[in-house]
Amino acid sequence: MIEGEPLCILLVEDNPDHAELAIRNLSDAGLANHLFHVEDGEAALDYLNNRGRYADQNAYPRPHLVLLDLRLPKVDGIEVLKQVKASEQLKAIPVVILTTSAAERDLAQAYNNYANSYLTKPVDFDSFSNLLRDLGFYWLAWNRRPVS
Amino acid sequence: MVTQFHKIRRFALILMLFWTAGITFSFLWFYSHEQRTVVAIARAEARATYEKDTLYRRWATRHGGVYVPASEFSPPNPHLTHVEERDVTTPSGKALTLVNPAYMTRQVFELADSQDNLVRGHITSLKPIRAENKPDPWEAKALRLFETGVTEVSEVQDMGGRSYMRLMRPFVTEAPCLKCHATQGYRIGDIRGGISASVPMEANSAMMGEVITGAAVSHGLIWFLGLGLIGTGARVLGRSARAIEEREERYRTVADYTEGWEYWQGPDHSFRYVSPSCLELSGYSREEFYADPELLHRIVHPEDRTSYEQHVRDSFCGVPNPLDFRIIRKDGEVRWIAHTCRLVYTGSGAENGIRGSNRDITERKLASEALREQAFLLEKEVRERMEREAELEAKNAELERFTYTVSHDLKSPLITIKGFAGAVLKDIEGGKLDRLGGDVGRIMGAADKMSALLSDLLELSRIGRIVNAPSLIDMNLLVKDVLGQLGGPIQQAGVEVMVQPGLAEVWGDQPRIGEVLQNLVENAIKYRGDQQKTRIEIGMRESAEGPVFTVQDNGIGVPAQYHETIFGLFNQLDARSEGTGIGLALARRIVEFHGGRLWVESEGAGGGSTFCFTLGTGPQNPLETGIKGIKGIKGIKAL
Repeated sequence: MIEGEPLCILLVEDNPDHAELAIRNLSDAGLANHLFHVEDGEAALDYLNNRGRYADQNAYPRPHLVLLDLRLPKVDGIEVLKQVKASEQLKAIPVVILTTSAAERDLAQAYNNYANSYLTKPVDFDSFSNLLRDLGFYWLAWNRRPVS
Repeated sequence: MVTQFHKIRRFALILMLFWTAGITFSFLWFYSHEQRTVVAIARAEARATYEKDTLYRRWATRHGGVYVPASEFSPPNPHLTHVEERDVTTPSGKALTLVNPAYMTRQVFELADSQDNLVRGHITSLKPIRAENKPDPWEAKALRLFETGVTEVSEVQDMGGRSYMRLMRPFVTEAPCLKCHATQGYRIGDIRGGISASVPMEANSAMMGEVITGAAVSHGLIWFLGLGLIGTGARVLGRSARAIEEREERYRTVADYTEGWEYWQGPDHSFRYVSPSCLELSGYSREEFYADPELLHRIVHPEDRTSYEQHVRDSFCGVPNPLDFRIIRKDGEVRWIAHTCRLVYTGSGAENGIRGSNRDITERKLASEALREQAFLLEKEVRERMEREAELEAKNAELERFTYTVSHDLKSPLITIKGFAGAVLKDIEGGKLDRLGGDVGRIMGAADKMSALLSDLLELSRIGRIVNAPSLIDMNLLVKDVLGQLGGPIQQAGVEVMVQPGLAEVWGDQPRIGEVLQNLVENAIKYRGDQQKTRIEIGMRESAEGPVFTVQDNGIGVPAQYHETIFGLFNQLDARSEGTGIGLALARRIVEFHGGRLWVESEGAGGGSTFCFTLGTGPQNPLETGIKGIKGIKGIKAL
């Protein structure tokens, strides 16, 4: 938009309500035109690696940003983060942890595994809306990305 | 105490006495023999003299006497008056007179008498013609003996203060004798009298005296030499006996006054030496061990006998390892013995049995037994404490996980509620009413979820805190009850439930086990998938851990990597499924509380799953554990 480039976000969130809230806020901010939502860690890894049902690279493009919840069914959020950062192809993608947990342990674990940012979901609706809008602008508008 | 030394001295004394007696006897024998020899020589001399006298006389008799010049020395014999021509005169006028044999003999004897050391003769008769010829008492006795047939009488006699060998033979009347003696009435062959010969013993006695003196001296020397040899021998023997005794006393003192029970067994296993201290240790005296080589073997405690026998065999083969074993004393008391032994050899290096030492270590053994018991108790306490600590750690970790998940999972619906409440407000402000219904629905769903979470959490917290009394559970009845309670959902989902008949009876907390079953059946219904015909089978199989109860379904299954995850608190494989993610965690906690295990067996996605659980020994019972502990202690104490 600002640079006239289609921006792509991968939202990894198992709670459908939270996912709905995030999508709604991001689309209100005009950031959800290329948003893909998966519900567990396994699906996220499949998407990023274009495996299984996400094999079509055109339909499921490489995201510019990953919003990752920590507590996920099947494969845990931290495990997803580890695999992304261990992969030569994927480690450049910014991964922002978006979780309900404010636990020190989660924070440390996330940064130790090279998370790009760690955000706690605010309980307050307005704060949640502002956070997602700012997040979108920061990573997709202000932040400069490497040329892929 | 009679020592060897004293024995030798006494023996030497007795030997000396015998030696003295022997020498004395020998000397006496020699003396008497010598005396007899002297007498025999004198007798032979007398006999020779007699023979000579008789010969001369016979010569004279044969001639009827001889004529000798009549003189003062030889006057005519007055007893021959009846003989013709007693006196004759030679043509030259010399007067001759007849000397008859007796007269001649008498003259010769008188001549001998005048000389001191010649053999004296005497002619005599009980009826002498001449009075001077009458016999002395000894001759008279001999003459009387002749009349009884004795032909010779001899004896040593004292005559005039001198010792003589006297010998006498009878004088038998022959034909020429009658010339003179016919007048007396004698006939030929009559004993007319006798001639005695007396040999002075002095010369013989002197010779004998010399021989006896020589013999006495030589006997004395031999006696003295013998005494000296015996004395010296006794002294030498005594000295070496004393040395041996001293040495023996040294060894005896060392061996007999030992604290332990020492012994020496010969190659034939008989006891050559046993120290007296065996009595104190075993109650049996050394004499009993000497008398019975099998005694030691018999008093070994039956439980230790095999190892003892092995040890004895090894020891005699030269591999004597020390051994502790028990014996049963004579009074029945059991004592612990530390035994060591080694092979012994003779001076020339041949094997000569074994030398054993037994020490009483009962006190030490009991003490170490007590120590071991204490160590065992201490170890047990430490182990229990470590177990408690590990349990506490596990509980802490669980609590941490719990607060973490609770904070996360309780916050999650709050975010939903507040988020959608905000959205609803915004929509109302903006007049967009089409999304309202859905958003309010989400809010209510989140509130319901929260409520369910809270009630499950409450339930979870109750396990371990609220315990129903354990009872014997008939699983057939319990399964039937649970299925009855779940009748609604089962019917709704159209699930076919099969129950294997003859389930085992188990010991446990019945309501909780019911909850486990209910959870597993609910899970099977919940994750049945999209298939037409859902089947649930409840059954049982036997295993080493006891009966294993199974709840099998043909639902969506669990991939291998999630076999453990699904039992975590609030872990759900499918975010869209209803439920809080507490059910399996809850079920596992109940089963583990009973000492059992809960796990899943599944081929993976679409393969259905079988949830299995055992119940172990039932819920932990503090009273029961206490009894077990006491039993353990008693077991150690038994010796």
